[in-house]
Amino acid sequence: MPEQLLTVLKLCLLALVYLFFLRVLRAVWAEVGPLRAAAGQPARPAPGAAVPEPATGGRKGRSGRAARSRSSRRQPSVPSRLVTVEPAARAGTEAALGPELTVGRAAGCSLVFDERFVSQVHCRIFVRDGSVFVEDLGSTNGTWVNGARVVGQMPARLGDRIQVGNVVLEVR
Amino acid sequence: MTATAPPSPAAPRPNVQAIGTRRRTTELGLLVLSAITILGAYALASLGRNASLPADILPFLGVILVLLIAAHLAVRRWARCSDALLLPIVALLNGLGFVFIARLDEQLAGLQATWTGVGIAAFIVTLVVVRDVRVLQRYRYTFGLLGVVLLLLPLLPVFGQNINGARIWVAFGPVSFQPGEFAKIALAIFFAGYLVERREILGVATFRVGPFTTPDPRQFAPVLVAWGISLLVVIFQRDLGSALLFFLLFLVTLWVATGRVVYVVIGFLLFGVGAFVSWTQFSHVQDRVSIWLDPWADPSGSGYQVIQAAYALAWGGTSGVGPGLGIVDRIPFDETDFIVAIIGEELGLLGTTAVLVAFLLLAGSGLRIAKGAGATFGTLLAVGLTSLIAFQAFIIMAGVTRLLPLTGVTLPFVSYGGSSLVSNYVLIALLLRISDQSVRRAPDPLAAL
Repeated sequence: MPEQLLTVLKLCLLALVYLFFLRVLRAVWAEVGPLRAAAGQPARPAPGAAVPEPATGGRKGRSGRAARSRSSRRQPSVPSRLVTVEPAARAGTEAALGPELTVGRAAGCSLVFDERFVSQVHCRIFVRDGSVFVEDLGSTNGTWVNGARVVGQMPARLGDRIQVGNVVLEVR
Repeated sequence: MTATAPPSPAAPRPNVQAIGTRRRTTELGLLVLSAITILGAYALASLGRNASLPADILPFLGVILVLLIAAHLAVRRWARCSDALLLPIVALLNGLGFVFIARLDEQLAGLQATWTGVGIAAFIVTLVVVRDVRVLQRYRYTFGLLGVVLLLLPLLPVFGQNINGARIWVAFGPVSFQPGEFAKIALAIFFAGYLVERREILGVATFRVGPFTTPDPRQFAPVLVAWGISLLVVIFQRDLGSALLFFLLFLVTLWVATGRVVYVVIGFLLFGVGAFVSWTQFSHVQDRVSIWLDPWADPSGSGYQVIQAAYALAWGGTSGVGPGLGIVDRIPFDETDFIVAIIGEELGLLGTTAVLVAFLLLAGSGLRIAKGAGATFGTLLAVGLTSLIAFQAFIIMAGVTRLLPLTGVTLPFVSYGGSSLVSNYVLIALLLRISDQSVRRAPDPLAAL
């Protein structure tokens, strides 16, 4: 076996190993890269829709203004209440939206939910210039608006669902 | 009002299915590539050594394919949505390690192949048995106790074996194993399970010591006891690498649980004190340090191993002398502690860098799993398990390259060693389970990737 051939084969082997790493990095990139992130943002309906869609169907006959629409259609009425959807035991209870509400397990919160996946002080929901905003307060299990995780302060519109651990609140 | 809230674990949602399918396709593709790489390395090592293709190349290919396909199908069946990268990277590391072991010692290669089979079987069994990581959290104290008992086993008079100056082996008849390799997983579960309960308390300083306020020390008691016992045990067994590993595991889990850097600072100060005290007290620690500082003081005696490793790495240069063309039996324990020196000799800097990159990608995937796991126990456990692999690889590679004093631990998946292989496959199965669960349970699965 000529030595040069062995050297060439050795370099091929090393190239193969690094090709493997490139493929691994590409696989990671396909999941976390900017393309996906950009597609993921407006695709909020798409991944999220799989979740709220059946809910919309169920509520069809109830009220048109609860229909889930984004900024494209501005509703005349302003959000004023938070209605509990989950857990089932407290479904239907309402709270008035104030300038600021805190949601959590601690007794001092404006909305107290003693639930397993709710942190002591989980998130705050506040109204600024007539718009509702949600801000996660470093909770363990995160806060989600229509299936999208809340990072920083995130607006919630009429009919949006705010998920706090296993508690779901709807903006009305 | 009908309750149709996002977390509906009953029926898997369509995008969960899509994620699972995509990830398994990626995994299969990468596995094929790693199988080709391993086969190429095996053939090339034989060409270099005997100037002919290995006679058993077809059975070898068959065994690789059977093992990888079995693992892949098990993941497909029981952890469909889990991370796609862990298994192929592990397969590459294990395969390349095997090639170099086979090139050094054929008898050990047969044993290593058997252990790989046992490891993959353990991997599958773990995936089947552990359907929900939170079950492990429920048994945290049991695992803590199990970890300590496993560490104590080698000290028993009948079963314990003293091999190469370290009392870390247990023999049951013909089968001997290192219980410490399994103890590390049990302790990782215990630390994660315990700290996740107490994270809020540990994050708040209420206890005053002079001008400082710290969290109530009583909260630490069980963890400190388990940790202290494990450290003492491994120090008396003269297994310094494992002592360092347990220490780092504890520190990292505590840091991630509380988010307070002060624990890391205190931990390193304690480590400095502990290292200094053991340096003054124990002769074997002094030996390690003096070999590290100046191996040439006794080049044919205590420094022999480290010096030969340095020569092997230097001889390898950039791309190595070629698989199968290095000098065999140059380094004692070349198939366990010093396997990276052999890789460095035959595949050079590029080869050792590849090993480092593989561990880097493994650690990155592990931390990504931790980040995606919304449930905190899963996060802490994933961080703990990942740091076990990453630090173990770091400790031994740093020892071989004389960045740190040499402490004998195996290079995960690469070194020869049955206990290490099997326990690390169990560890990977647990990481895959955490990953699968977090994708399935997340309100938005895409956010949990």
